[in-house]
Amino acid sequence: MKPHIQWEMIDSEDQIDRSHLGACPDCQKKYRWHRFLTRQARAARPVEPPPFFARKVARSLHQASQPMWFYFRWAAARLAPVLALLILATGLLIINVLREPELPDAVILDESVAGEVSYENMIYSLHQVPAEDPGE
Amino acid sequence: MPKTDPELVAETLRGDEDAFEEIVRRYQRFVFNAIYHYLGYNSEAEDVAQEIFLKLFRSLDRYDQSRPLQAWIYRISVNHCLDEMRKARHRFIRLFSDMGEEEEDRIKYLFEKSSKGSPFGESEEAESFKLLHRLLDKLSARDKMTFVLREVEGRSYDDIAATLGTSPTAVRIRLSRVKRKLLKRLEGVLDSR
Repeated sequence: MKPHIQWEMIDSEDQIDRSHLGACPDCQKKYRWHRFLTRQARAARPVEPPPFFARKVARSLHQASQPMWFYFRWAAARLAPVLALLILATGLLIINVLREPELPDAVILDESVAGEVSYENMIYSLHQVPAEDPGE
Repeated sequence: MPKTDPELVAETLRGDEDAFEEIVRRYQRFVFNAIYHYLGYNSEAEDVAQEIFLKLFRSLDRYDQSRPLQAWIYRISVNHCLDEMRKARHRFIRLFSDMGEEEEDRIKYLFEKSSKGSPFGESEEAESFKLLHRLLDKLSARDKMTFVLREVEGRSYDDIAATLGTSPTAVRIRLSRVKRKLLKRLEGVLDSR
């Protein structure tokens, strides 16, 4: 008689030696076990996810503990437009602060130096103003 | 026109929560079924699925967009369930590894029914699958996963080898060892009392 069928090596029914199986009660017993295991393995039923599962997962992203770099990246991606505006506004503010303030128009007190308005002339003109007579 | 997976991934990485929600919606059925196949239960499937999708979210920047997203999700699911199996083994299996009398009786009943060629009802199919997982409980996480990938999901040896990071020959050897153990365990249950 041929050696027993090695059930652990059987991948499909085609590999079973039928002539041996028909004559060997021991292999017939193991064949039933093998067939039962295969049937159990094929007995899985399709599973449906619960309703709103996808929404729940998406909502849980905020609460998930993320590595620091990931949190930074995620936040940066979401806040990119706001950050860009903030940077632009800050830049404008800095430019405005650093720009030299405009001096007020010079007050020309001496007609003789009109047309040559400068800081020196302004000082000069102020010196030419006659002092008020204290006696008046 | 629906967006492609790479488009949804790119939008998620730019901070679009709705894009990620769409990815979850697209693959949730696939993940829930994988969990059921690998772990054999539904009761905690929602928590496990949520953890898998969070892992996916965190690893999206490492995802190679030239490959199918489903393959990436499949890999994450397998690895996560392997971890779950290891945890379960440590938590419960050492204490409650032996089947109760009731479970053994149910296996005997289903076996008799199967031997007569009678069809299983829907609830019996589900019960039979659950009992198979009870038989698998004593196996290592890797043994259990190899058996499920081959016998439940019907994946090829090459596919299983790529998923578990081993060779097809090693998968064949492992699977034959697993089957030998399972047949022995089944024999122990059916021949008891």
